[in-house]
Amino acid sequence: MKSIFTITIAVLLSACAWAQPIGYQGKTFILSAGLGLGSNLPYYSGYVPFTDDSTPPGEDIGIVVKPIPHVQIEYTIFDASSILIRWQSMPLEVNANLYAEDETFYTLTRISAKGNMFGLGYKSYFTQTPAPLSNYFSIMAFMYPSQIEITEHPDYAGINPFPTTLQNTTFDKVTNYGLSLGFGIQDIFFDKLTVDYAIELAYIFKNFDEGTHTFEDLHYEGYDNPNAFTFENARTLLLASPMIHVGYLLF
Amino acid sequence: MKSLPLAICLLIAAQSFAQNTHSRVTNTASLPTEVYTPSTEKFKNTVFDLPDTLSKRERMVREQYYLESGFGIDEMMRSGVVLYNTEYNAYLDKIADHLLRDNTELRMQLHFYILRSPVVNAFAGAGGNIFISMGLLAMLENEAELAFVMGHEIGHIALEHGLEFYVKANEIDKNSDDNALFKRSSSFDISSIAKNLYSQDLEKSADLFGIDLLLKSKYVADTNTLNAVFDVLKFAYLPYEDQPFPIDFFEGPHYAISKNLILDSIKQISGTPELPSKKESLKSTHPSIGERRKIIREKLLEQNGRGNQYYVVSEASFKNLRDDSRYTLPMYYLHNQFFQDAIYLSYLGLQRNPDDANLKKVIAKALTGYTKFRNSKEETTYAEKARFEDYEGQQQQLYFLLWAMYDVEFNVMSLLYTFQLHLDYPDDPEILPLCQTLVNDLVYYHFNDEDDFKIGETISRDSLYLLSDIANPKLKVAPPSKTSKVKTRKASVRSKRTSQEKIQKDKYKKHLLYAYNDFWDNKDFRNLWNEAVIARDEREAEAKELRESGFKIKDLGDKRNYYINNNLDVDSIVIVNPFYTRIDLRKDNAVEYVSSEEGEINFLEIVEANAAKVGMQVTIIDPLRMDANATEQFNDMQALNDWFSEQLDFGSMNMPGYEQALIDSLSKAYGTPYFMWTGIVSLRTRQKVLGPVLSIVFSPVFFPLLPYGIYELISPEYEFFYLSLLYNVNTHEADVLKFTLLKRNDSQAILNSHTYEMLYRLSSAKK
Repeated sequence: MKSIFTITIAVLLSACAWAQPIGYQGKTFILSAGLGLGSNLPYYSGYVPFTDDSTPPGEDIGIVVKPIPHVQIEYTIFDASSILIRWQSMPLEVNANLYAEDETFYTLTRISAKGNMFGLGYKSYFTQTPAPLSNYFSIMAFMYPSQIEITEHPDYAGINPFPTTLQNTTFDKVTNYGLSLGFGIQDIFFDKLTVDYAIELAYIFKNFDEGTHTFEDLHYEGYDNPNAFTFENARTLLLASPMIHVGYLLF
Repeated sequence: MKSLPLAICLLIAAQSFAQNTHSRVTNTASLPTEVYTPSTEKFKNTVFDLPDTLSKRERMVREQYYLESGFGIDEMMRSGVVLYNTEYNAYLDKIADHLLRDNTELRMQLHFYILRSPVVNAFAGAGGNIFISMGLLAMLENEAELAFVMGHEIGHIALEHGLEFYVKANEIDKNSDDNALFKRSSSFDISSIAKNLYSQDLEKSADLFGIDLLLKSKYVADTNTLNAVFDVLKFAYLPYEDQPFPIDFFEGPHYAISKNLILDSIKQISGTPELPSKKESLKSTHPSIGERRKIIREKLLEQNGRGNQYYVVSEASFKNLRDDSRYTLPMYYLHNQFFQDAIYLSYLGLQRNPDDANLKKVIAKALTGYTKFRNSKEETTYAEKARFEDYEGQQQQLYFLLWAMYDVEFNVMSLLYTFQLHLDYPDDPEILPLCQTLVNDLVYYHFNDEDDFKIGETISRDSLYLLSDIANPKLKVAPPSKTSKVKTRKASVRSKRTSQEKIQKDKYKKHLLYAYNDFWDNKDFRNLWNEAVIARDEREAEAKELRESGFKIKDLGDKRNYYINNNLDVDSIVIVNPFYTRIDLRKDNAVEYVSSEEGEINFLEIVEANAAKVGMQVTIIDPLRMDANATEQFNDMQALNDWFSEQLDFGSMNMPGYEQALIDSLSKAYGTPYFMWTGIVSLRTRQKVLGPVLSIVFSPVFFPLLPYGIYELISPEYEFFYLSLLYNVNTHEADVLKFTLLKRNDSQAILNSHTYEMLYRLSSAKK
């Protein structure tokens, strides 16, 4: 994923070298701020027993929707395309199966990931109006260095599978990569103001490199029975997130 | 003579003929305010004057009438088809002064205009505007006839027939719609018939009004004079004279046309039926000619006229106007590619003025144009007009001759006539380019080498005829019966001609090989031939290169919705008569006239603003930007409109305009060869419901369908069409074609973006 990200940057920067954009009346550079709604997958599972058939069914945690602010720079590079650099604060909720090595219990635990997302994208305007005023498709590769922490532990029948000492444990910083696809309409008012309405589908890939953590990662010293856990479902699909950006045509 | 429905039809027809002009008849005095005053302003003034006593519905219908009629008339007046303030207008004014000398109030409301159109017609429009076509003027025999025509149209204005018919038609439509809810039989046809019957009543009353005016005037008002006017209507589809056309008109000392090309019999003139069947008469907005004659006859029995003069104002002025109309008709036909009509009417003109170079040039231009269309195989549309079977009278011989000739003979004959004209008028700059066009085609399509010709060899006239007869064995084509299907007939005749042409290609040329034996020693002819050989070789080399490279069009790079010749050097353009139309298809009265005019004014400002940003000089020729002193610019616009219209017909044939010399001079005057025709049509369409509703219904299955469905349901449906066509008028090539169709509204940003892009592309396409 890192290599894809790197190649994407290289291609886009190369494209800029040949850029002969018309833009909107010659203006090609937009600075914009926006707000999107992020959501995860409606998740029904949570815990799946390996051995114990009598384990109660999983928990549906539903869709979690959160407003996500963006700041974005768009630079028109061709008649029908532009590149984007986006920053967004992006608190995510991911779901993890934590299980003990002896498989005597495991349960759904919700963990949150906090971090800032940096994206590099490409917008392809597909109507006959020159970019950046038109309908468009976008694709964005993004990296998401995040700090994960356990935020919620179910307590069944008074039995909390996690020792109290784990509850405030922080994980190491993990970098995830993702891809989003979008469809939007960018309009321009008063020859200066841009308004961009879009819907994006984003997918954060499972972090294979750092997906498995041992309890050593938890820096727990007093509990030695379950000694490893894995992010089984540490991926988040941002379903059809509506977004709006308001920008200014700088030059 | 026509009421509102036909006036609207003619308005549409006038748009197709709106490109007519003749350099001989142009506006010379100042432009009337009607031309450059925005229609919206005039409309608001008219509506302001409506009485307050009207009900809401009555007011609404009247407003709509003044809107449609006023804007329609204004559009025609700005198109260049109307003559203003000429001596002809002054002449019509004097006739009107006499007819209405007892009714000055009515006289003050009236404005008389001449339409530069070959269509035989006259009509009255809102605002007291009366239009008489040159096609009609060419057919009249004296001033009294013209006075009756004018009296009829004055009747329409005085009796407010335009408004009356509009209100009535509106009621009929409304009742028809109401009835249609309960009765399926209340169809469109019934409402059309009801409108036609009402229109016929109005026409009859206009006839009576016209005869009343005539009876009170000094003009002779007898049956013969008035019947002559109805004879004009009866034979309106014929030329103003019926003279035999000899086929040897096109022959030369070494070229003979086969006698097989002489029609055995000419179709007799029948004329429009005086008393058509009841079914037919119900389809017409006008009473039958026979019925109108009867009304007039009965009126004349009741009342005798006071006058006995055929001319009250001026016989000389009438004849001058009529003869000028006749003189200019061939050019009007030529502008619309009616080649046969142009040639026949020029021939008629030459019978009066045998040495008239302009008429001969019209023939040469018509021959050149028709040759190009035939050789390019783009004649299908025009061949429709050339169906000799449909024509009556002596003109049929010419139609048959031009139809029946093979393309190669037509090309040879056209060049023979045109080059001979060059020899007769060697200093005329327009003729030699026509010759070059014809030689180019001859060399490219029909003859590989001059050695194909029998240069220096002589042949007797009889032998020439013999050869030409052998070469045309099939030309005795019996006119097909009226019952046979047109398509079948056309296909079979075409197929027959094509196959025979292939078989007898060499044989067929034999009688043509001596045609230029008087020209080969001429320096100009040699130069033309050599140029044509070079042009042919270049063209074939280009074609070969294109075939090998796999591209169909070489110089035109397809950049999304653009076709641009990349070798442009544009820093100045002239935009001619741009158009802007907003249409709301959700409404019964779909055209939004006021909004369209506002849009046009805004569009012109946008063009200028974006041109300034790009650094390009743009000159806009548009009546809304003119004033009373802009007569010359208005005339330029007329000529350029003609030229654009012709080029649109020519397509990719790369053919000079019929008045190319005039256009070249305009190019010099404006300091650029680049002239653009551009405009926008913005549509608000009906909302789509089914798709969005289905999306919402199925959104539980696939969540993203919900926002899509809601968006589609609440967002208005628009379509936006932006056309720009840039010609280099010197090379008569279309260097840029912009053709944009969007599902968007015509917002300021969209207009700015597209206009800037177009101008930017032009300015950045330099070498």
